[in-house]
Amino acid sequence: MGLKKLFKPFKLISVARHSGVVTVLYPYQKPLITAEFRGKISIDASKCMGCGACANTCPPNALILSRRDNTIILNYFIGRCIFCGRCAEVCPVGAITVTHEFELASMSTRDLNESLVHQVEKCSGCGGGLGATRRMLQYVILHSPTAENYVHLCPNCRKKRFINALVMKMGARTENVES
Amino acid sequence: MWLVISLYIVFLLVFLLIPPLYDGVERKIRAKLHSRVGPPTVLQTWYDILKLFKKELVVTDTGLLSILLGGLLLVTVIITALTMPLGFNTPITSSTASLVLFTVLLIGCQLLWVSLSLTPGNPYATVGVFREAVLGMINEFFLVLGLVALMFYIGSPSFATLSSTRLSITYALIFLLLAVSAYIGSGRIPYDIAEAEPELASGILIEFSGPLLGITLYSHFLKRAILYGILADMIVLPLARAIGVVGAAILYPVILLVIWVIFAVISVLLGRTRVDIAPKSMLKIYIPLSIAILIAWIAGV
Amino acid sequence: MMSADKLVKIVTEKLSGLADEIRYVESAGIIVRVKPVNLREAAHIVHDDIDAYFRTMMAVDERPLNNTFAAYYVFGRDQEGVNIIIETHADPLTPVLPTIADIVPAADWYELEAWDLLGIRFKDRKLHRFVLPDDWPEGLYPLRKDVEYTARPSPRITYKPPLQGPRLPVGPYHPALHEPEYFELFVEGERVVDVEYNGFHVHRGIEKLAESLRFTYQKVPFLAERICGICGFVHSVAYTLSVENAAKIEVPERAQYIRSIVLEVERLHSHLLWLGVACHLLGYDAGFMHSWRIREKVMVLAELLTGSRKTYGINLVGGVRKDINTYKITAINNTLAWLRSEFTKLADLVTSVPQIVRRARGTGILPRDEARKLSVVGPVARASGLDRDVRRDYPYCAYKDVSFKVPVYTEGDNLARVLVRVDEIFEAMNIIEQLLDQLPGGPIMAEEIEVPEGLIGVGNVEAPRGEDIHVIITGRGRPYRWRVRAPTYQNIPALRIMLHDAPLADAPLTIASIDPCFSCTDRIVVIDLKTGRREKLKAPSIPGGCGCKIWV
Repeated sequence: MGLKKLFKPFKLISVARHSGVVTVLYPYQKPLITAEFRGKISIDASKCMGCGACANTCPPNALILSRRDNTIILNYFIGRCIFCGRCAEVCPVGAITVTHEFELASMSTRDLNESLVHQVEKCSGCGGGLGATRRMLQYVILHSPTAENYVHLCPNCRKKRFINALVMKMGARTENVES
Repeated sequence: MWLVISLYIVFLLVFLLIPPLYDGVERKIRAKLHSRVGPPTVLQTWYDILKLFKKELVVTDTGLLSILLGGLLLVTVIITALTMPLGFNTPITSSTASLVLFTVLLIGCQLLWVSLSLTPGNPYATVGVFREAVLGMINEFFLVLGLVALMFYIGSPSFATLSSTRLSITYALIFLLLAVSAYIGSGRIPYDIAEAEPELASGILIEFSGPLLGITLYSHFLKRAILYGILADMIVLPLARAIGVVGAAILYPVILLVIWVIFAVISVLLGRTRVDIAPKSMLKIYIPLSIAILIAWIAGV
Repeated sequence: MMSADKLVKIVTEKLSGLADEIRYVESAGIIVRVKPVNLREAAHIVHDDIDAYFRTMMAVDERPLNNTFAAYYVFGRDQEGVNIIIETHADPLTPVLPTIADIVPAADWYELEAWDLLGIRFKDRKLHRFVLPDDWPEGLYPLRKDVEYTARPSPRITYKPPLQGPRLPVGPYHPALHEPEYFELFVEGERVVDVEYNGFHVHRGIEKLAESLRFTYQKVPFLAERICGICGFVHSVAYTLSVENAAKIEVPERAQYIRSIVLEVERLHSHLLWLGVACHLLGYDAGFMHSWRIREKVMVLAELLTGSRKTYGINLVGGVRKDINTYKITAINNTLAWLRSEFTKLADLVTSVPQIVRRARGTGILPRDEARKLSVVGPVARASGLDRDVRRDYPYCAYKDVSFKVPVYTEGDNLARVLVRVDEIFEAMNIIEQLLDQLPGGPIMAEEIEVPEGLIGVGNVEAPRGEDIHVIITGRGRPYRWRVRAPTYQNIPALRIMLHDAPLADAPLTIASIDPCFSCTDRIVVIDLKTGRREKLKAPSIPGGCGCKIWV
């Protein structure tokens, strides 16, 4: 009995033989990722409407929406991304997909930055910036068709037009009311 | 005569190149037992040592002493290798008291190793040396005892008589005693507590870097080869008459590899012991073995 | 063992003389408000008479709310699964509270922390720098509401004399340690006679960060998950539980089941990791390699279930983000079957190596009464004979629907802690199978998620290392105060007892046997350190410990 106990550690040899060598010779072999793996995101420029829902929900602020002059810029910095995929979840138009890419190291940080630039629509009344992109307006119209009547006007112009309509309905004559 | 000398020079060079190579083989085997790939080639240990020579040397304020002792250790270990037969006897190893000379040089190597570890004055290294000394005192004693027993058995203090010795149970028991003391003396698990950095405070090599560390590591491997070389000699030398000098010279590194691999596999299967448990467990093996040798020798088997 | 109502009655009886108000809040427990002068008596009654365990203490700057500094001492009665919280308020200009560290030894660290980070002074005890670095300026208390998260004070110059005498510094960088920690071992030859612990090297200011404008309720789970690299999901669940309890959010059952399954998967991987590390420390590298080889399958399973090997990112306030389908269930069952056979072989092998058993048995002993006084948690408690498991005592998620054994050993040595964890691995596999059997259908996210202000909630989870407890006071859009108390924080003071008068060679195994997770321990409140900068902090950590050095 004592002898059997002495030789028990030798079982390691059979354990090792049974399992074999388990090392995956990455990068010479494919990496061990499953179908659910979350890698970096990819933003579909043809769908993104620049609403900023993703930037709002991103925990580490890897996605940042900023406004500059008459553009809205969505910046994605892979260096801060935690690959949680919340942005893909909350995007109203499904512009963000989570890919399986994780080999993202690069010598320059410029490779880690992606930007999407949107034009800001102009008000059809006064020509000022609306703070929304064309696709955002289309999205609103899609979900609320009557919005088409006023969504291309800035709030001031809307107010003016409403007052004009009201005045005309009451039968008075007006010139364009200056604010 | 000239055959022996030229054979000797060739196989001495082989012997000096072998230790890191066999360590590479050991690392691959250990990796296989761990279910992993290990180093890319068996030459990895050589690459590591050569890489160290390219690195910068960073020493403590007692650095000069470390460098001198390191060089001295390397030279002494190489000289010890010269006094040992490599499967066949040479004029040096056939001299009258060659075994005694070899034993004394071996102890000298061990003392130099301990002194080298004491030079940096680092508290970790000092704790490591303390542990090494505790182990060493017991192990060296029985190593010397084994070699002395061998001398008594073959009847003379020279390697030359080892070729003509007869094999018996006493011989096998002496071989076993020397095998155990060679295993422990070469710093193998479970008794590698001197240089064990997962233990919070040991690491006799902790302050060495660059070429100094390269030299120290090489000396460590060469000493290991010498210790196992005695065992290989005990097997090959008695056969030398039957297979001839050239055959013995070629068989010797092979037997050395077999011994090395067996010891490597045993060390993978066990865990590390503790410095206060170690002496007791060592004595539990040595004392019965020594008594058995005595009995067998008296009984004439 | 009595009902919660009976407990409320008993508490009211014993404390009505001392307390200003006693109310029962379902999300937190029995809250007893006392004046500071009655705090010691109340703590003594709750801790010793009522025999409740000390769980955590949260100090809050409530000056914007009610012009006081508040301290909430959370005690827990395991038998009924109810918390007893002693609430006390201190003067806003000179906050002073009496110490209870002599009555409740486990409270020592919490008082030092409150002093460091909020400036609450505790009478009749030595106060010293604990969490903040030595060069943090005096008088600036980071967790106070008037200190901005972005404040960057300039350091003050201090002088530290060099280490002298028979002291062996271990850390903050040491090959044996996986995280930065600093132990000073006082050695005599090969015996450790005393130990000082200085920690908080990786303090990241997570609690203050969650209070800042950068975060909202739904973003904090991702922050919480990164408190620890091994048990992150535990913190995420504890946080969401505390918010859901406070705001009475109805989390769908399926979501609770999924959370429990993922929690048990995390327990599997954490214990396998620890077993490997313990083998490595004892020189048995083969055990390390093979236990991590087995663990790899668990990591791949976790990735299949959640999308990431470790920082799962599936938890939100109100439910989970990812569902389990039949393909995943098959994968879980296959992995568990394989795991069972492999792990049985491995456990057999590891316990057959004579050196491992020899070195683990009889070393690092923590006696039962010491363990009780320090209120240790997790496998450390269970190995010392304390039958405590948060999954059974304060049920959360889906644990009330499953039955499992809680392994308890009485020896209190390292081997007992190993065996507790080995048993827990088998139990975790049983639990997962039961959960999969009973998995209900339905949604995985709550319909209504609204978090009102000013509520208190307690969430607890049994992490692989022990009880993890989060206390939250809700604010507008983000927590007003979030207190994270990780299990290792409660267990480290026990190290002094375990290492006392022990051979030096046992120290690494003993330290590793509490499964220290210093990432968890150190995340306590605000320190505005830029990431990556580590300071060596010096402060003795044990009440009345010899070798006290005060640098302040």
